[in-house]
Amino acid sequence: MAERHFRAPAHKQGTDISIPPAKRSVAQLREEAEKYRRMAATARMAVALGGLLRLADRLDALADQRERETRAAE
Amino acid sequence: MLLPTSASARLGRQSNLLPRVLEAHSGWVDNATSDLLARSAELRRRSAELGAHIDELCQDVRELQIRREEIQMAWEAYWAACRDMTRAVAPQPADNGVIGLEISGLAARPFVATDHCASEEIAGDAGMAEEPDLLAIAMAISEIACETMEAATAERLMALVVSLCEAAEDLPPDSDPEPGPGRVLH
Repeated sequence: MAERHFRAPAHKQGTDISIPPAKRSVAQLREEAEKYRRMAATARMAVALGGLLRLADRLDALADQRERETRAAE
Repeated sequence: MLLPTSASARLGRQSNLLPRVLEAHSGWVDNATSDLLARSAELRRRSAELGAHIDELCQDVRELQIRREEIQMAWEAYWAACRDMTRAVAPQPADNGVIGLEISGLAARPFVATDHCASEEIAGDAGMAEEPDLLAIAMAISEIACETMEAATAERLMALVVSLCEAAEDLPPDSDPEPGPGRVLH
């Protein structure tokens, strides 16, 4: 049997992917970003590494944005 | 029956020779028997190996069938994601149309969809489309890539994830036409 190209994505590790990122809390977004970074560490393909890190960065950016929105609303 | 004396004497000599002849041949017979037993054991071993190989081949065939189904499922999910994405981004105006996805040969990149066959579907669904969530689609495709055993397909799917992330970065962070008080747009 062939090996996986990287370990299971974040939602397979306990995150519900049915909740869109835009509707997740800052803590959930940070946690998910960290999971994607951990997945990237297992990637055997450069493109997978890049894609997973990109996802992690994007989730962090979304969390940053959410924090700014929260601060502005206070 | 009475034998002539000469014949009787010959038989007597032969009967004396017989044990020696048997003894002389017994080594060969033993060797041949051992050889046959060894060959028999070797044939049994090879037969067992062939049986194991056949089992392995059957297992390989089953795994290939599973992989084929996985690739088929990945393809279907990929196309569904592409369709969802073109629907999702449909209301987002670009310079001369809407943002879509070039899906030919899995070489994904953002494009203006008005010149493509998807435009009719986009136009039909534009009124029902929700806020685009390219990141969610990218995450879903990363799942498909993870489950895909074929390296080339996984690589292309992850290239699509990168393209979707890039497209998500290019989109405005909030698509509300009139953001409420306190909302910050960047």
